[in-house]
Amino acid sequence: MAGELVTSRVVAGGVEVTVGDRVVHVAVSRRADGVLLVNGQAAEVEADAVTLGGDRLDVQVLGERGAAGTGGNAGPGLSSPTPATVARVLVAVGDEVEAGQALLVVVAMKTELTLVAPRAGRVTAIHAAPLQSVRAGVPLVELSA
Amino acid sequence: MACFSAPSRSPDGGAADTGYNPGHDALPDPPSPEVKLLVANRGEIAVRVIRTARTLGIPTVAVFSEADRGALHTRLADEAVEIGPGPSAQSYLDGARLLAAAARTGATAVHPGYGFLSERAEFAAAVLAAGLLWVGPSPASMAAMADKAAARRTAGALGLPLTAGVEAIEPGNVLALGLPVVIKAIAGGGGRGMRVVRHERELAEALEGAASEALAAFGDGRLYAERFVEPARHVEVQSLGDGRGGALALGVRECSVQRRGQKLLEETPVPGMSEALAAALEADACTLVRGVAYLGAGTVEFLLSPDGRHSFLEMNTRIQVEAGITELVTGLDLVAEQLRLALGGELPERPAIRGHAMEVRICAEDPRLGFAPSSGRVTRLRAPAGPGIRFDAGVAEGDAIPELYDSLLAKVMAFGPSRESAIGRMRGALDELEVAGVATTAGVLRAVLVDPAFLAGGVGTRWLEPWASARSPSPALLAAAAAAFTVERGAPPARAGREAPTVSSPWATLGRWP
Repeated sequence: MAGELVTSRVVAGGVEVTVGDRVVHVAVSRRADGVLLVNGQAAEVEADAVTLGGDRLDVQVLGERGAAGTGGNAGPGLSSPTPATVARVLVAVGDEVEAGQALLVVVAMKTELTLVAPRAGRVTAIHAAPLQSVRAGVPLVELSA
Repeated sequence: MACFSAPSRSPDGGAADTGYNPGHDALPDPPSPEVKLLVANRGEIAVRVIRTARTLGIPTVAVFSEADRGALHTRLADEAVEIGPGPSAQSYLDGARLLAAAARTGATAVHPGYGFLSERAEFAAAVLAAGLLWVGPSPASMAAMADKAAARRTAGALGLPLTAGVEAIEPGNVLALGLPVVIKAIAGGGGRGMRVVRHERELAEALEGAASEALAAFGDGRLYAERFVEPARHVEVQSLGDGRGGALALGVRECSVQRRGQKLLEETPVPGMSEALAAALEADACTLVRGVAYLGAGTVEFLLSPDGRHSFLEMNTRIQVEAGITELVTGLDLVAEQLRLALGGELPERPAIRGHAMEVRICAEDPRLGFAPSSGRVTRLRAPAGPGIRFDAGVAEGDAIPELYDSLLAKVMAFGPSRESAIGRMRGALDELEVAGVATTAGVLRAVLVDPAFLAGGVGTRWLEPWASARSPSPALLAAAAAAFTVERGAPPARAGREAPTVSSPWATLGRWP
């Protein structure tokens, strides 16, 4: 499950959370004493971490899609998760791609990372060329809605 | 034992935990007074080589790219020369620029370290042609081992055990090996151009994918195939050769804890390996070293199958990342031995192997994200210390970690009289180690050190990755935490009929492990 982008959205009765390609509805409420309950479990939220059921996760809330400069956070998607150099571009503008299809390969620290399409669509723009240095989180391939 | 050129002698009783064998830290007598060493590398190994050169009184020249201005290795060397832009192809991999730096500084010798040009025979030949001393084996023995298929032939002809394999690949002869098979690049290394084929229908695609990956990585798409051994352990013999047919084996290292086919934890001696098997591996390594009249330090790698049989894998013609654990159990300084042998010196006497040593690699990678690289800046670095602990870092606090180079930041080594004591000391060291600013492998390695399978010894090369991924937080936990965080951050529950704000919360770092 490593490397998945987690997106949460507050809805009535709780929060709708998307983990990778799965959507999970999580019940959130507050006890009378103020303790936050997540699916009935007491959660402790610190400045940048959540403790739940004995597990502690460090969390960083980024801005809207495409927030940059946080290196190594999001899994491979439309942008590189870490500063990298573009190795190969595998698609062209106008290509129809399937969810999970490899779009481009970047290299960071001698390791190749393959960025895959999060969903099916048509490639509308490519902002990457071989040997180009790219920052984390900057969109490299755009897909039609 | 027949393969050793020098008689055994008793251990140096005065050696301390990280003891040093005092007989071997001098250059051949008389020393070459004019040696000035250019270190054609960066990071941990450049620092390591410079330190040994200093103990031997040899002046050093560091080289650095634009991205490495002010890096630790440039600060430790007597001189430092900028050789080009950040990308390795225009700096650390550009032989002409390195030779120009040597000419400019009057360097008389080149140490290649590991990685970069360390196993390129053409570079070694160019160094020699420029009238400089090459701290490594001859270009001919490097070339013989760089071609992995030729290395197999050489080893096989010398009587080393091989797994069944074929070179002139076609679907028929590959399938005749019996599935599963592993396809490898002849020019290969680092797991690139490698594919495991378990079903006949996967073969065509595997051959095509491996060839194109090998072509991209090495400029050479040639392949060979071997019967795939699983679960296999990766073990290796640290060897020295004097270039005149003399060979010395310095024990066997266990290197099976890997990710992406690259080592993350090594130890020596190999847990559970009988003395007879260790002696057989050492004898095979010496046969190969002698057979190619190898000069300097090299490592002969073997696969160990579950039935306890070993087969030759390849030979690395350079110093290795994990050489330090052999130094801890032998008391030798292997970089000093490289220099001595390059200068025509004799092999050291065979040291006694004493105690147990372990190394973990602290790499700027995030184990929670499939060991994805994590470049940035080391904002905090607190080195571990204590009995039997050695910490070899390539960076200092405040240093930038460029995405252009390898992710290795530092190596933590622990030595003790037994495996248990070495593990205990390593646990203490990793608890003491603090690295902030980039994600590192320290946490997952801490967890490995208390895992029953690891403690029992004998995990295979494909053990770590699934083990680590199974310990990553579940989607449900991530979701619950995201929910808690979203709400606590003050995003009010949406009123009916209105769109709620969206908070995108990729997890930057994920707390303690597990």
